[in-house]
Amino acid sequence: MIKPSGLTVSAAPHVHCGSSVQERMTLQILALVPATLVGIYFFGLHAAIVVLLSMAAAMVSEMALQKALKREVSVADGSAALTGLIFALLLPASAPWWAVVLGSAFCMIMGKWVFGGLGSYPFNPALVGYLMVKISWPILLTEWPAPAPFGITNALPIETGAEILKRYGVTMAEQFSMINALLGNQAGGIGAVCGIALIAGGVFLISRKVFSWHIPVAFIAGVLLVGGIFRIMNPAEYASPFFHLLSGTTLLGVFFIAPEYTTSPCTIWGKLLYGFGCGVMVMIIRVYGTYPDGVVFAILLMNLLTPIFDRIRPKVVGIMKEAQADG
Amino acid sequence: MKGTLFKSSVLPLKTGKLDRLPMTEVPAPREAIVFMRQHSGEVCKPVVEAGDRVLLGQVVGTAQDQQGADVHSPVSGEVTLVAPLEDPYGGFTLAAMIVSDGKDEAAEAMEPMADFNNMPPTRMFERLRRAGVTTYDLEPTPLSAAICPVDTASDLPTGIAESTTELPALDTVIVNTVDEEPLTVINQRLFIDNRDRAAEGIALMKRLTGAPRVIFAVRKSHEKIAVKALGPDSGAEIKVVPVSYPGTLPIVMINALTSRTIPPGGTARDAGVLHISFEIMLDALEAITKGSANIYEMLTVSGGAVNPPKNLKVRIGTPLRAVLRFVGCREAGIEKLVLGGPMRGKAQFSLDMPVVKGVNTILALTESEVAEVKETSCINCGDCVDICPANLQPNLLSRSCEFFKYDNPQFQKELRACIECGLCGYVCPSHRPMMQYFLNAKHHLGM
Repeated sequence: MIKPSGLTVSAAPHVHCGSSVQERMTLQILALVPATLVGIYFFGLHAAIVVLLSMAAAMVSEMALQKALKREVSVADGSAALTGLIFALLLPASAPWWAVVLGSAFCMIMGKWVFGGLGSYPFNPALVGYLMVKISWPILLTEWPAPAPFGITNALPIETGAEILKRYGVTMAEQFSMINALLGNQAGGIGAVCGIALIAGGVFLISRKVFSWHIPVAFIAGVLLVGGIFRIMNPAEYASPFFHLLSGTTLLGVFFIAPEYTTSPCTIWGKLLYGFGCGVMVMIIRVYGTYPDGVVFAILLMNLLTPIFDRIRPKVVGIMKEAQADG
Repeated sequence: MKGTLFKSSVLPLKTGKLDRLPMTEVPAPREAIVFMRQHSGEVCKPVVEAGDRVLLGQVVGTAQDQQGADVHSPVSGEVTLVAPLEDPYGGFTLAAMIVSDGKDEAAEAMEPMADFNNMPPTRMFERLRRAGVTTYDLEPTPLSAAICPVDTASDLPTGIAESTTELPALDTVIVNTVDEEPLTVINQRLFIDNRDRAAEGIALMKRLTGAPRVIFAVRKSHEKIAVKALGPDSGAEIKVVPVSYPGTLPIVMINALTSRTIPPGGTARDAGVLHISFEIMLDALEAITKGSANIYEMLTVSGGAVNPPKNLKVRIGTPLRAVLRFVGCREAGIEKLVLGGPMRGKAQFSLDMPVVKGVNTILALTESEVAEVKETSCINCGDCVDICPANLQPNLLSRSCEFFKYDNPQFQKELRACIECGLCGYVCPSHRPMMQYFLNAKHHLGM
């Protein structure tokens, strides 16, 4: 006779590679730690408060929403903390506490949970919150504290490289120091200033296979190619493409915002086109648009095209051409 | 590996030094369960009743059609029950329960056909079915039916190697000495132990199929051994194949070796190929040249609850409990028991389940090894898209399945193209039950 033996029964596969959402999110937060620390070094204690406040607000609002929607509370997976962190890194260290809390909660409510939570949203939630703050209180996001060791300075707020270029033209922007931008000694969002830390974090994520290389590389290629064409056409009017890569929030977007899982395509050609499209859009907005930075808008626009990019895919093995066409 | 459509190396098959372990024979079980259907056709008709005495290798069920193969008693003793029992695939199947008398008194073997080169293949097909030799081609199939498909309406073979309206001629035989799934080394081990019979086996396969091309697939480290064992006039091409999953799956290997693609839901025969493992070739050789029935199955027993893993020769019908006791596995330590490999095997609910034909692995997993699945949402990370050997988008397919949206014809076509390798579920960071979704949808759609 065959009697039950109290064993677990389920469909194959019976083993798992061991990855988890929590691991992915934790690795992304870890990769952002160097950029955050540099930001805190240059903008002082207030930067640390903005970061912690934003992460806490994101987690608390997600927890409250999940309770209200009678869902399983999944704050431990780290996705809310990551969104809160990225949102904070886009802000100036001088951002008032209420804007941080409101924006961070808005990320969770209107960016994430109105669409059904992790995996369902069409736009990067951190950018949705950022956009709300930018539209509601535009002045908050144009005054950037001057960088100084530990943020101890009496200097008045200054402008980011991208803003200088937009307002005063390429001759002023030429004085912008690439070395300072790489080291983080420039005005900008808390976590968007230090090129080296952002590149190191991005390379770490790609090497740990959290993200594939396609989107960051295509993004950079898009910026350099279109920026390079403008530069070659008229060096007196257009800044160098490397200036565009290192100023504003470009590198944060390249390595941490554009490749975000839910809002970016999955197929190889989709990823390459999406990344390249982000790069091209950044340049077009910076050259022709009214916004000096453009990274947030570029990524949000390309987020919209993600479902279309996902349709660019290799042929399914076994399905004949005509069979695919009539489906 | 040129011209391959499939990504053929994803998971290296980590087997350590398992392939150097010799086969150990598990003693005859005290009680054996023989299912009357271990093939694709109708259930065998039992020829014994409760109370009958049977001998080792005696027929207990005869095949009712060309898609069936006889089943035999693995012990000598008394039949105690002939009734439907839970089978390893989740249904009920007529089975005979036989209690051994411990004497292993053998039934008379069938007449050997040593000179198979002068034997008509149709007679050998009959013999293979009588000896219960089955292979695996999408589902367990008698070897004869895999070579020469059966016309279901008339239940007559459609003729060997002949091109019919639906089927291309069978022109390639792949004899595979590499195991399909991770953690199994049976075919590699059998090849090393029985390499002197490889040439004879290839000659038999050529005679049976009439195929001009025989490919002998080996792993890199066995290439020289194969060249030596087959000799210059075996007429088989020796090809090195990667020992990595899913490159070892027949559907992927056939594509890599012959550049042919098996249509979705089709069998290897639909591409004019016969793919058999070395083990099945040996079974066929035994049945033809010695007339012995197929009552043994070779198994790797592995998993965290089994330490160390072992290669075993087990009689078909032996309860898993007896096999696990033989290797010194503590029953309380088993959380999940799988008949088959870690990627495609079937989890069993009972330790009383017997070994059936076509199983190469028993996996006894401990609680910490069992993959946890959760009904979470897909985060669209794209890992399954990267890894899918059939170029599907499992992320999108699984969402359709999750909400029972089965109507879209494109969805159905793609679902049919899923080769059920299990890799999407293996890599999913959200631990979604991917294969469960797909198998459930296929079941609903009658695929």
